[in-house]
Amino acid sequence: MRAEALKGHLDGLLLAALEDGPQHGYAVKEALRDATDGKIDLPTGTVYPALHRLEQAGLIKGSWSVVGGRRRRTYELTEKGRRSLAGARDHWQEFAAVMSAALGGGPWPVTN
Amino acid sequence: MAGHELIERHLQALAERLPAPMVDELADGLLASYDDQMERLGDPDAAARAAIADFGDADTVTAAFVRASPGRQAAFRLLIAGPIVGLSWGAVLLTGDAWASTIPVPSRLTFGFLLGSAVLMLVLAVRERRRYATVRLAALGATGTVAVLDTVILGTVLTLLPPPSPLLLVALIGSSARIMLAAQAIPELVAHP
Repeated sequence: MRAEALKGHLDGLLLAALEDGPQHGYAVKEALRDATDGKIDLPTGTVYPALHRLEQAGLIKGSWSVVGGRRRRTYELTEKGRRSLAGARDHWQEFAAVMSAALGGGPWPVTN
Repeated sequence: MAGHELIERHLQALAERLPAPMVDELADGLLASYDDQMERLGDPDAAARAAIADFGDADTVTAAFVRASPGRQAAFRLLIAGPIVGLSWGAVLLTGDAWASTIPVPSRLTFGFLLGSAVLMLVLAVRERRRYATVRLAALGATGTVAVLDTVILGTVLTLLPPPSPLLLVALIGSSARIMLAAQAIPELVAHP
């Protein structure tokens, strides 16, 4: 999938990947890839700045641990993040319904 | 710690541009990716190349961190607020020069020099793409300078007590808002690496 098609949806995708529990950056990227059968495969290095942005916005919070001798930062959703994810889902469903209606070949509404 | 010379070199390039905690986090991701590619491909060189290709080049990753940095965001906010507050004070000084002329010339020159320095630092913080620390320091310097200058203006007005006017009120509100913006941004800029 082309990167520009994800514009405006990246935050929601990352929040959704963290919905089931804390994950580190690479696991977030892998979760997104697996959930979409490889159709959304973000460059690993660009997932981290996006996670930092979400953390600064208070939507997720990170904590450090050491795994296999490596420092690892793990992120989890905050309450604000959960609300933002719910909002992103509602917005997406509305948008998808409108686009499906417009592109699906059905009759267009009559306007004056 | 790195699993391959190519990975090590990539992390070194990132370490020259980004703070250590960010590089630690990126190293974990890049090495996890390398481990996955090793399982898939079985060849260390091919696995390192595949992991780096999937990761993204150092310029792209650094630019993404810089874009998301608190320093860049604070600099943007101040650059937007600057002309509005500056024009307000300019209008106040032009329309009420009787009180403004009592401010000594050296003080005005010092003020102008500091203001110019702050603007240059803000422009640097917004334009720099590759050095995270430069963005942070420029934003911190500019934010601190702007806060000091706005405090000096408010102190001067309180000392000289010029005749009240709607323009003066707008300028005072502008400077107060900018001090609050700086007060919000500075702790975040200090706390972040």
